[in-house]
Amino acid sequence: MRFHKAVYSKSAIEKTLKAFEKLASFTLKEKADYFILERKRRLEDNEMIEKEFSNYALEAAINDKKR
Amino acid sequence: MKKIKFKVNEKLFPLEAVLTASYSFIDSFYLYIDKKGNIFSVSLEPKDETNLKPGDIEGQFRNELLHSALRIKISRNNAEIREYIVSQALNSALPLGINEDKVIPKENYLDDPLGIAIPWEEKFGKQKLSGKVKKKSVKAKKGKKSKK
Repeated sequence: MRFHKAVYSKSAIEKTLKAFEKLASFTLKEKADYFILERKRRLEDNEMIEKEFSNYALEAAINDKKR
Repeated sequence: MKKIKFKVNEKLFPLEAVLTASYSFIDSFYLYIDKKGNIFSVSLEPKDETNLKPGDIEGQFRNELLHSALRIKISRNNAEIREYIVSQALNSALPLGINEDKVIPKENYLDDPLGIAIPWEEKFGKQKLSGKVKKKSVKAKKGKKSKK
C-alpha cells in the first residue's frame, strides 16, 4: 500500500498502524512523495483489511487537517 | 460494484475540499486518494451492494466537492468578521476586572472635587455678590426696555 504525503499525514498513518496492530503488522517506509506500507505476513482477509486501513488513514488525515 | 475512479483538478478544488467531500462518503464507501502533480485521483468502492450507477456516485461526489469548495471559500471570506465577533463575545463574557488595564478609582457621590456643591455666597462672599449682581441686573433691565 502507498499513501501520498500531501494527502495522508505521517501522524495519520502512525495512528492507523497502531489501531490495526492486532489485525495486521506493516513496516512503514518513506519513498519520495509516498509512505510505503509492506505487510509482514499475508492474512486471509488481506484485501478487506487494506481497504479498511485506507479508510481509517483517510479519516485520521482529515481529523489531523481539521486541527 | 467495482471501483469507481475519477480525477479532480487541484487548481479547481483544493485538498481541503476533496478531504471534506470524502469524509461524507466514508461511511458507505472505501476511499483512496492519490495525487500526481496537480491532479487528485479518487477511488470509491461501495461497502455494500447498491443500486446506484457509477456515474451517479461520481456525480454525488462532485456535487459534494463543489459544496465543500464553496463552504471553504465563504469561510475564508468571513474569517476576519467571524474572529472579531468571537473575540468580542469572549471579551464581554470575561468577569469584571480581569481584562482591565486601568483601575477605576472608587468614587463617593458626596465627594465634590470641583466645589460645585459649595454655595456661591460661601465661595465669593456676600459683599461681591451684592455689588456685581445689582449692576448686572440694572444693565439687563435697561437692555430689555431699549429693545421694546
